[in-house]
Amino acid sequence: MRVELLAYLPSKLVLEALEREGLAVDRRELLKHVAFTFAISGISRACSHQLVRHRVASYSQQSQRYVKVERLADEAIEPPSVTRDPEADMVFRGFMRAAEYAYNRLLSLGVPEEDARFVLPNAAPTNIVVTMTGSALYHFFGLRCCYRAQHEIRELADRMLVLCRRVEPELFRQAGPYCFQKGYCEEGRFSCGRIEEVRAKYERLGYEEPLVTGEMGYKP
Amino acid sequence: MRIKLLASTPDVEVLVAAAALTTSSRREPSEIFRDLRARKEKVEKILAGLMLKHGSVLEHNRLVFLAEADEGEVLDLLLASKFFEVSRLGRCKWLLSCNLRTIIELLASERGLPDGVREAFSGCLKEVAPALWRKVVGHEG
Repeated sequence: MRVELLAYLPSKLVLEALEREGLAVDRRELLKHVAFTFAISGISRACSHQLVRHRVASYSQQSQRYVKVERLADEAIEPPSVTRDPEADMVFRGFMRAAEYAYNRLLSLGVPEEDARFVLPNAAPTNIVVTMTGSALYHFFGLRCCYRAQHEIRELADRMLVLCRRVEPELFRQAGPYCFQKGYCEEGRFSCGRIEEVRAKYERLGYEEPLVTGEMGYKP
Repeated sequence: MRIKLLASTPDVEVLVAAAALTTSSRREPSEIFRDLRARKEKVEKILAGLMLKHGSVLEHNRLVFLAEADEGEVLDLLLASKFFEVSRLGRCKWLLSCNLRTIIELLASERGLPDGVREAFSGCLKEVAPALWRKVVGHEG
């Protein structure tokens, strides 16, 4: 997974322009007006399906109609829960080879890409450009940084939060899973029960820790 | 209604072109963006070929305005597009924001807008995305 902040509208520009007019705006309102654009590569289609359910956002995703999927068996995104079990790993890789064969066979029979892709799995890799306002990002982080979120989108959300905190440390100081934002967990009987651990993590994330895969404690 | 552009996302046209290419390219969007940033002529070529009815690639940016207007005029604007964000700053002063897609769709429509809005949005589009302004307002392509 690779995540990069391509561009953003700095809050400082808005605040300074308002100040010159003798005006001001509070942080919660300001979040509605600043936007952040991310380039995301090498995530699974399973992850992007979850991402695009956040409707108050803008997306431009690599098309499977116009971009032929190559080397699926090599480039499929394999979850750690599968990788660490040799038998599960074998089943997964076998299926990816079969899916790659079926896809290429359909193409060779003259089936167009837009129909051959029906045999592609959720593990197929994808690239996507995403833009969200600050307030949409707070909601996204609230749901997807939560320990109950699926590990791949949780890693994506954490990486996006780190990038936001690097450029707007104060604006995103309260951002994180909803238990961190609100001070209590809304997940009821599904709660992870680790609110203190979560709070400690999100007080530091992006301010102290390097952004290195495997160092952020994902537990799929 | 008086509208003044306060700030906008940098490299708006490069972002639009990079988003458009991401949909049809094997390359990573960050690589496409860096490549296009150094090749303005290629950006203009991509924008010239863009079909504006596929407006989602126009959304990867934000424009923030200071608006001086009464509540009725702000309501007219919100009725014209549900994609504006508005914050009240004081009496008849509003912080207003949207992305280029909203601006371009309003400029391309026949819809009546509060006095001064069409001219202000056209000026802002010309400032932040001149190639798109030529395409939309100048009817080049």
